[in-house]
Amino acid sequence: MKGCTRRRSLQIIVGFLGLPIVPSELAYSSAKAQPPRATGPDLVVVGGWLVERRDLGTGSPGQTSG
Amino acid sequence: MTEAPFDCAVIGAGPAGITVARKLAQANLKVALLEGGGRETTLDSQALYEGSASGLPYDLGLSRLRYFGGTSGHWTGMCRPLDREDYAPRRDIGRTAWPFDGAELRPYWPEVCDILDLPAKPQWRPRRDDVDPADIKAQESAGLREIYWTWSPARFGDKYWPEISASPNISLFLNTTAISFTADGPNGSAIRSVECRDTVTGEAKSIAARLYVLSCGGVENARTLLFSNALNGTAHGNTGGLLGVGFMEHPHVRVGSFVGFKPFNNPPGNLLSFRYFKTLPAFQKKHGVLNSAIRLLYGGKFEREDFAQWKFSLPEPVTGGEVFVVSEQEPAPGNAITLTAERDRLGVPMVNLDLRLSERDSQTISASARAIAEYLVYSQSGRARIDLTIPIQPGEHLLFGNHHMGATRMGKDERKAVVDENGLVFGTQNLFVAGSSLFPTSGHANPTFTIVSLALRLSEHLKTYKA
Repeated sequence: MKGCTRRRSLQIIVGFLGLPIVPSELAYSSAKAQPPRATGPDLVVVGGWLVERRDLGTGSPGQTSG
Repeated sequence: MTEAPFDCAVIGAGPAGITVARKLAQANLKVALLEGGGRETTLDSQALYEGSASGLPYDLGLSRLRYFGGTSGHWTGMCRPLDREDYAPRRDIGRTAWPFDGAELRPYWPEVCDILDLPAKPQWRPRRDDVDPADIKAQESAGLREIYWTWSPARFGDKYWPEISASPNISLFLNTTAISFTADGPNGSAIRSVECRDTVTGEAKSIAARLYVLSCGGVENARTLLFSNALNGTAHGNTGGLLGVGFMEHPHVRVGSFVGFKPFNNPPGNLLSFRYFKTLPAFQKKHGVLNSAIRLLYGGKFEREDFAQWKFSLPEPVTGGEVFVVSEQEPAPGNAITLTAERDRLGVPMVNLDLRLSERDSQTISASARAIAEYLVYSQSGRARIDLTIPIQPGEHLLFGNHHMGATRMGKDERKAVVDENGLVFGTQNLFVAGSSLFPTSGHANPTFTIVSLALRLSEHLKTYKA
């Protein structure tokens, strides 16, 4: 929550024209990017999210994982 | 009261007018710089910007500032030149071209950077070595390219007040509202004076000059010409009926959310630049859409439970934010500034802005949203949830950039434009326009960088121009 509050305070840097400015070094957490996959993705939309079919596991789109 | 003649009367002291006035004064021309507001904003002066909106709700009073320095007094400072393809015709969708290509303005960029307090050579896109080739391939597969905006701290009123107030070649007239022009010659083509009123007292004032530059903003430029034509029975700039027509904004649309696995906000080590993705020209042609840029903005609305239904392995903690599309808008004939029957307290008709999103505008936003969602999958750098139901009412999801473009468009043909390739109003010998109202197309970039580029180009032209 602390990080979230910090982000919101950074959004004070909001100008009149355009969009809020949030420095990424502060707003972005330590999550690691995954390496690009070798094969082309098979895209499906689930709940509005554009994902790869393999994101969904072996079931049909929308099926709860696990 | 009539003021002594000047070489040039520059009407409006915003980024365009201040730039023209400075450059002409540096060339030893005598300049009258007219500003409708004062050194500071006042509610009384600002009220003269009020108007109505018959299309989408739009606040004409709040979207610009009426004082020395103009709207640069509250801009975000976001800078970027137009893309090369923005200058070109789009025969596939019937879009007009600029009267010159993008290379025409490049010689002015170094001075624009100096004026706007930007780095001498801003980085407008990543260095090739800084981007993973696989990521470039993912961008291209989605029809995108990573680009940068950069930030200007310049407030023209603060920055240039000392120079302008001390210049022996500039006579500054604050609180002097230009109302109309008087003219002589065949068809009233030679502008003889600009008729003004004191913004505070209403006292009439006439200022004569050899040349005139109308630079009082993307709405007021059209308003002043429309009213002057109505008073004089002239059709300056309006042979083709395009004066005030083809107004463009930059819709800023929140199209959805994203979860991201890498930074997207700023280029490495550069907090004063901002990372966007733009659609490639081939993408625009393939989908029949306009130019656009997409920003992934960490820190917006984001709900962890949205991901519960799919198996994708999410990093912890999950980071994400909002997806914004900044879109070019079509110069649709219905998007127009017109005079109304209602008058302001100086007797000038107030304006109505009819601004709507066309089907192509909406398609541009939708296609851009889909493209960024595809890029996140292709690059394995995130996922996006896109709401393709584009809102038609401004509010939480749709904002405008307060960029007023296209109402006095440039062109080579007086039947298809209001001013020629140098900004000379068709049908006149000595009346020029500066500012974003010149733009025949708007691209997606904030306009100030191009406004100042055009103002420098116009200044060069005027130094030797003889009517």
